[in-house]
Amino acid sequence: MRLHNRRRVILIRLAVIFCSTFVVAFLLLNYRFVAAEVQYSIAPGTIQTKNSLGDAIRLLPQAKAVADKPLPDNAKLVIDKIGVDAPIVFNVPDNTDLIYNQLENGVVHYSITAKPGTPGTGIILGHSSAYPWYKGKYGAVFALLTKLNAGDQFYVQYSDGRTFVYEVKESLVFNPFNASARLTELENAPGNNLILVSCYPVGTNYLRIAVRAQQIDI
Amino acid sequence: MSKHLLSVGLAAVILASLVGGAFAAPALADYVPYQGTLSCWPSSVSATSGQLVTFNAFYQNGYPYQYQQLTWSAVGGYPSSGTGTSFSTTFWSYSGTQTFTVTVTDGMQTATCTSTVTPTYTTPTPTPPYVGYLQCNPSQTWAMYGQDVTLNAWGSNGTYSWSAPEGNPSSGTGSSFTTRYYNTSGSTRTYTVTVSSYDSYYGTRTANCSVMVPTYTGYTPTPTPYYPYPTPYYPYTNGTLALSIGGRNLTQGQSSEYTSVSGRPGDTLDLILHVTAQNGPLSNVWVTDYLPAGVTYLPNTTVLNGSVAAEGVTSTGLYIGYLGAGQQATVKFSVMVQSGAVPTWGAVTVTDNAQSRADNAGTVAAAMSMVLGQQINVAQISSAVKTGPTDSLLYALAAAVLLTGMYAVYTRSTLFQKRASLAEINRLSKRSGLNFSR
Repeated sequence: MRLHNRRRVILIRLAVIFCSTFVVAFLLLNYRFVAAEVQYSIAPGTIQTKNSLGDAIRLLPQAKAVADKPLPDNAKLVIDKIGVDAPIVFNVPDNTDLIYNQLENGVVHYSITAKPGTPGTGIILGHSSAYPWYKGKYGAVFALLTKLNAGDQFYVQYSDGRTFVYEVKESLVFNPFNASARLTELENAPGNNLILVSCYPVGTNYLRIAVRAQQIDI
Repeated sequence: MSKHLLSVGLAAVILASLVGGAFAAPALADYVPYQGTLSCWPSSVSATSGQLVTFNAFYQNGYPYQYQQLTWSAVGGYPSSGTGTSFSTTFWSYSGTQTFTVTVTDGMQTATCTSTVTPTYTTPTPTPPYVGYLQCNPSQTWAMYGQDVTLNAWGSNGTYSWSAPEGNPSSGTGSSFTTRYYNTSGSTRTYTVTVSSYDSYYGTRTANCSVMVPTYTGYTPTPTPYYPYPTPYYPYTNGTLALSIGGRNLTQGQSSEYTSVSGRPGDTLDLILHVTAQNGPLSNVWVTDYLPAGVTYLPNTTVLNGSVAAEGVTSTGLYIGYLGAGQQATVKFSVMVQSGAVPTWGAVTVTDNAQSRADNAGTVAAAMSMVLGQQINVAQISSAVKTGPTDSLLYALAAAVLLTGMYAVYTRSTLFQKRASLAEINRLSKRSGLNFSR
């Protein structure tokens, strides 16, 4: 009887050790996401980027001067609510390795899709989380993508000052290997749209999250 | 007695002479030879205002006057003073006949003359009635075939009659006159409109306006609104042709017009051309769109100002015709994105060029960029690109298994050691007869 109790204690200890080790290891591996999540949880809505929307709008007169010129290939994505201020990398060939490489330098515009500010729908990819040894500093740029709700606004600003403001319309978690009608509807939404895509849940790549935002006039 | 009186008288005279000579200075006349009486001639003269009159001085019954200094004074004359035996001056009168006096003096005598001056009246010329001048405005203008042209008269006595040979109407009255011309001569003609006005002073005056009318082009314009006089009528200037292009992706559900458009293979795009006549009317306006490679025109989709129009906008051109000043024509047609035009990755930007021309405005061009790309597929894209740590769960699991295993091994070894220790204690206790089982 005594031996039986001892074995049970040992098993419980093993289970606790297993679970805690798993959780700790997982959190350590995704510490970027954890940091962002903790910061957001402590003070939700206070994460501010260097450039607010007001600054972007103040640049409009400058942008009007170049309104008829082609959009440059230097731009940044600014989402104040979740603290995103990342360069957008354009003209990346449809090659997985090249896209991974460029994700180290910011978020990647999927080349075959519309550029932000142009008619149609564009897609921007970003990391939700990355290993601690990941070289780029944008390993968790889209970690808080789930925090975006309909009505939230963000903007894309090109190097020549042209700024396009987007308003979140919907978000969708989907299985990339089993496209749904809902996803097709999201892809073909009218207007100038921008879809932010990342992996879901954070720390995995089993599912994806897509946040569709529509360009609005300012 | 009489001798006695004569002697007394003579003595008295001599005495008086002696006394006077002893007590009184002799007078000037006593030293100057007698000259007679100073006189002015003519003593009276009539003159008109501003007329020069001359007076002379002389001595009557005396010695020659040249020995004396004569001074003249003429109050109100010009000059008003002078010296010498002759003096000329001028008097003016502005209000009836006036008499002016001229005085001459030699210091002892004074003589006067008079000049009666009458004003110089200019009989007023009868003022003719105001006639001024006669103008026809605008003096030169353009009008299209059959287009109303309004001319205005200005000046004279306000009564006008109009003559417009070949015009319709060809005559009229009033300060404003509207007519139109139908020029089928094959070339631009200049018509003359004559406005005439009669008054009793000048007789008949005439003024001309020129109306230049291009030849018939097969299109009868809508009459332009008439702006009544005195709205300034600016001389006709050729209009400026403006062209712009917009587009939208119908397949993507776009309803607004954009300055650039994107499409995927199979998408239907609307291309919209705006042709505007600025600063004046345009005649014989054509517009042509040169589609880029990768899109094809969808037949029977051309619409001009909301109405179905003839084919040809992407080939021979679409005839718009006449555009009044400020008028805009909108041409819309549809194209389809070809699958072969889109690269397998990335997008291609092509340019749609359009051109418009008018007889009186030359040719203008416009361009719009079109981004042709593949149908986006979020699932396909995101399945290929994994933006999360692929194996973090596996790594965490491995770490948990490893640590748990290590603990298990440690626990097992500790247990074995304890068991071995207990067995040794039991063995020693049995050997010594002591019981350490508890």
